[in-house]
Amino acid sequence: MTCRKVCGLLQPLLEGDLREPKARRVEAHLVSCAACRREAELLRTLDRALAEEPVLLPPPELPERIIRAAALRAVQRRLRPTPVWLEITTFLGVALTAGAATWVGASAVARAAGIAVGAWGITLTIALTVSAALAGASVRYYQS
Amino acid sequence: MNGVGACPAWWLLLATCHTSGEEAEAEMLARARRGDPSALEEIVRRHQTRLFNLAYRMLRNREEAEDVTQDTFLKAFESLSTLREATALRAWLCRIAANLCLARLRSPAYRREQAAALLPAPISDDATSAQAELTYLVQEALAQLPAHYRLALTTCYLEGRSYQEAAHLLGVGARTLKTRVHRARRELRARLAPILAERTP
Repeated sequence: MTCRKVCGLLQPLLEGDLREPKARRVEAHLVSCAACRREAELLRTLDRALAEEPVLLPPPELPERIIRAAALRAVQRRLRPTPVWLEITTFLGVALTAGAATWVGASAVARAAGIAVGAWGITLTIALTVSAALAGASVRYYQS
Repeated sequence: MNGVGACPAWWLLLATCHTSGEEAEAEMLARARRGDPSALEEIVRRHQTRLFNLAYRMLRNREEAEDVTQDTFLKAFESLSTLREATALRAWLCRIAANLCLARLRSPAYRREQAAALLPAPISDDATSAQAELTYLVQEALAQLPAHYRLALTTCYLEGRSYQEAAHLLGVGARTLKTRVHRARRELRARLAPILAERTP
């Protein structure tokens, strides 16, 4: 067996992938050839250094940190603050409708309906603002 | 970097063995999909060591490895519904982590930092100084390999030299993985041969 061929078979030999009688022939060559022996030793050293690198333990607080970050993401996704333009348009739309109804409607029923719609619009706007503030507060809470 | 937090390689195998049957895994995944924090935490506890070590060996930086581990879980939790089988969770997480590592290695900011920073000193409590030095040299040579080779070699050794398992985790064919590992080893050998020859009497 030539040195070149043996060198190509050293890694399989090291991994136990070489079958008999090839394995025995490579081993026999190693006994008589110092250069190939050095090469085998080099590969073994490299393999050992790679295999013996210790497994590190992650910091103990990592799971908790990850769960908190995941909760924060979920909160941010669910409680995305309502855009200001939506609040303003809602308020204006409802107020205009209510105003028009109150002005146009001569009857007390129409006026009452207009006031009700106006009140509903104001309540909705306040609710949107509060929910946006709450979302911000929750995000800040989780971040802290 | 000190030896605190280090443990032998068999620990990883034990951590894997402790996972119970497929049914329990599926049940846990179902709870996690509903957002059950205890199920999410269980997933983190089961898989964090493997992901953390994969990231650490790829990036050689503890903080970066922690960040990658965290980002992997956050990314996974956001799309848990797309995972069909609970048994695929481990490989899925590994692939996310591997891609995050590769992205970091490619980013110009990371490259600039790496160019400025020195590799951490070897980490091993009981290693003799010669062994520690060798580990350091290997790590240094490993850091200079192309990222895909490094990923293949790292995963293979992290999985106890199993080509099959590493290929499964990285979602590549066993033959592809074996080729990458062999090329990586050949490059490492070429880089280390002159240094090791000097050290051998």
